[in-house]
Amino acid sequence: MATTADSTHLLQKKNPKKHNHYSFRDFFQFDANKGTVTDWNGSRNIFTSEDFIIGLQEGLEEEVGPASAAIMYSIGLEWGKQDSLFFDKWFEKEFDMSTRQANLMFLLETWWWPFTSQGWGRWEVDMSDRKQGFMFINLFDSAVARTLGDVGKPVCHLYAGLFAGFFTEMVRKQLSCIEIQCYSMGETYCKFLLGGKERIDAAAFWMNEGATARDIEKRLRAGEVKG
Amino acid sequence: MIATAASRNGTAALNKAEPWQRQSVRQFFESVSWEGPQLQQVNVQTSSASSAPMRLSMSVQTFFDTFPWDGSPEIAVPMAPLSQPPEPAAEDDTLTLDAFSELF
Repeated sequence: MATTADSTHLLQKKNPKKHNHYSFRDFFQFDANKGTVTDWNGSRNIFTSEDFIIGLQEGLEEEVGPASAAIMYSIGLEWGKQDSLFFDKWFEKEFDMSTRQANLMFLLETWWWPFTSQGWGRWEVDMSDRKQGFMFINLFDSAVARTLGDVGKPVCHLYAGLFAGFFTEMVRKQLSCIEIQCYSMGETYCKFLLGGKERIDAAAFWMNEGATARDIEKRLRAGEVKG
Repeated sequence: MIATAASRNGTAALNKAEPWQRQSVRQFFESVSWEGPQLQQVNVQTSSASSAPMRLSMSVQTFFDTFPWDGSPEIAVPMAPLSQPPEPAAEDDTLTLDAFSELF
């Protein structure tokens, strides 16, 4: 898990153009004297157990009930927005290139790699529907869903917010995101829909009516909601 | 394993007077229908020749011998191959953030 704070990663300083630095030993720098963990990009990290995630989720639910999903989404949203600014800086520093000049898929993979190293899971971006103004993100091994187990509903609101926040900043348009399939619903992986607010609201409505991820994909591809 | 060459391959090359156990290796393997032709003559018309239902009292060998295994297909001609999925757009390789932003 990552938080923000500036610090120096010695290996990174020694070899700033090394790109294959996502192994556990390379990516994290442990300072036993200070009791800190700093990642390759100088961000302060903390390691937490699954109990922390359960405690966060259940504590929030106890405090605010069903609104906990919206709160987790909002936390993710702010995180994603902040992280896009942070990413802009370290990407340019590492590759001598602005994020706006880079190849999109390369850019996105580069953004997500630190998350994979930090234990947030692997992802796959499905851009096949981009011309219709929406896209899907498949997430494998979600830290939240894996921890909470099969609870029969989507639980990765933090991720949905993170994607919405990051892409909103990157695309410079207000985008929303919803998890339409979750490991915690008994599925093998989590699936997120990213797009304009109207589409995401429609998907949320269909989900409440019992639609599956496949139903939602079909309805969107059929052009039921325009962006 | 108890089996006869005839029952395994349908070849008629076996000399019925001589059990296959007494054949030399060469004789035995020469009697095997390696190329797959010449099924044993069965006294039942194949399903292609007759629309009468096959009797359930047939032996397994007789039943399966009625199938036109090597013959022309009776049911349907093979489907034309499905059209190839479209090639991913070439622009994928060059898509930048600005171009992507235009799509939303």
